[in-house]
Amino acid sequence: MNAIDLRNIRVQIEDRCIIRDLSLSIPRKTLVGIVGPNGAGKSTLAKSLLRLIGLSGGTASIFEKPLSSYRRAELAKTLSYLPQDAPVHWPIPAQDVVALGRFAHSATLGMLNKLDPPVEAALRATDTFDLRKRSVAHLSGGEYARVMLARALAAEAPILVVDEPIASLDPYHQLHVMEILRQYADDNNTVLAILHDLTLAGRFCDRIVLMKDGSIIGDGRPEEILQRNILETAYQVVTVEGAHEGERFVIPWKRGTIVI
Amino acid sequence: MNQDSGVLAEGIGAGTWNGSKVNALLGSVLAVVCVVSLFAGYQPIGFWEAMTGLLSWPAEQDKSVSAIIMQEIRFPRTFLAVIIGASLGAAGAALQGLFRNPLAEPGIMGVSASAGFGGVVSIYFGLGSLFWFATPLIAIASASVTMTILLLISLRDTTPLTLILAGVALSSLAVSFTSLAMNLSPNPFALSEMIFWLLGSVRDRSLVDVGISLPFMAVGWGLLAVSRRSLDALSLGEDVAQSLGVDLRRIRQMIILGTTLCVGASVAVAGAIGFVGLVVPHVMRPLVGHMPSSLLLPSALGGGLLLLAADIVVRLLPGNQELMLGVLTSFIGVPFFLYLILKRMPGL
Repeated sequence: MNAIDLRNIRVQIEDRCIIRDLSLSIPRKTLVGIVGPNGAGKSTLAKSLLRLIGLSGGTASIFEKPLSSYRRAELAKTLSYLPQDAPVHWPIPAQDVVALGRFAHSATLGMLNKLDPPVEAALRATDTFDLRKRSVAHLSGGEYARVMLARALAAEAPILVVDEPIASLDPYHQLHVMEILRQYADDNNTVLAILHDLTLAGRFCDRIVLMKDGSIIGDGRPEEILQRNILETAYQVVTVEGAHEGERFVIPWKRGTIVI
Repeated sequence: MNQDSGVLAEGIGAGTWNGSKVNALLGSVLAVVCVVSLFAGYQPIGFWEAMTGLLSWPAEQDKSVSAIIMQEIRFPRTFLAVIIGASLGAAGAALQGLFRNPLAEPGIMGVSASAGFGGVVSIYFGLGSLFWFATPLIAIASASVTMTILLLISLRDTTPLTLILAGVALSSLAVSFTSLAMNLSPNPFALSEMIFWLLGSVRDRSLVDVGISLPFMAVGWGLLAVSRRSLDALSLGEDVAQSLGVDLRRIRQMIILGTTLCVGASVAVAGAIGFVGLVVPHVMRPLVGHMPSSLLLPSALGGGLLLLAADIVVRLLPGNQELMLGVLTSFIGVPFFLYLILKRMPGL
């Protein structure tokens, strides 16, 4: 059973087509890296999966059930989302933010149980347990990003959609977050990670989906997609390839294309 | 549970207990101030006389002077001050949660002025005498128009400044219409009644006013209470709140309806009393934390306490003319509002 099935989906905002006839099937236990230049439609794809943006055409199914037929709470338990910009509007403690990840699991009128084991597990998994009582207003950028990820993990949803989760992190925590996402996928979950770091995407993801202008222009294993000529077409950058400890990596090197 | 979990439990438990402790303390102080309020007035009444007057219900012609003062003047005044303060405090906390803006408040955002205009319209056309709930209904309808406009603006631009400026503009518009109604007032009595709406007071109110306002307020409190969890989720922004399972449209409707019921019913019987919804949530936040759900009840209790205390002060101030309650809350609220704006300015 596929976790996500998209058939010819189209997203149009006002008169602009952001996603055009996109089809994608993703099974469980997979970490998919969605990559592509700015404006490719990656975040719109994520938001349409969350029903934050409506589809203009095509069909979307989650675990073989039409996306539109999910009840709100049911969808929240199935899909957890960490957006690109995740502001917290009040200086509340980190543990309260993480506990909000359990929102859909708590009773309608009851209050959130901050002692929920998934909350504690998410705090520990993201190495933020010791920060739990600190206000999010007093966290560094990296700490803040990890608390936000903990909130998304606390939902224990079988599908996790994260939009640029490592954008504001130092290399140590970038690797840490990628390891967490890898582990989450290995625990029989599906992770869709929108990434700009091609090196980390190539190292940690099972599959890379390369988007440009609202369409998928490449979909396959990292070594198939992160090829010099493909990336050059997508990004207009020259890349350098290499290998270390038996793993292949790719680094964007300079703007422009190679003239042969 | 391991040892670290114990630490976690202790920390969170302490936070919850703090909230309960603050609520219990506010409730106790409010009860004491209620008793003080029953004894505060021009006519000195002894404790037992006051209690007997308050609790005995003889035939109308057999009522003592103290019974009349207690039952028809001081009790309604005390009760109204508490429920109006509670309504305004809770409405302020809910609006701040909905707009995620610490400067959101029914008075500043023009909701109170709009409700006041609704009340003036009711007086101007004599609608209040048609059916008992005409005035609160028109005040609530008028307030909800302003709230809806503000919400539509906030959907396009969420910056605090835009919202406040829009509120100021809508408030000015409501005051202009109110002034126009006063200008064209059919008689001096109606004019005097309209001035009451602009100044705000719980003086000379009766149990009839309690009966007019309480049902609307109770529904408003209920709507705000059931929305509190969603307000917490909204702390993370609208996209995340929706992804967590919040029905954004429904929660907006509930908060708008809840706050307009609270503010409209308050203004319908006491006129526009501003700044309670601004000052009280700000005072409560350091005590109970910033989660909007934790703030509603303390803000309601604190609002009741503040307004009742302010009403006792206006009763006890020396002078021939009693100061209007809305005037006093403005004197408290405006400097506080300026302080909050200055605090938000970088470099200050």
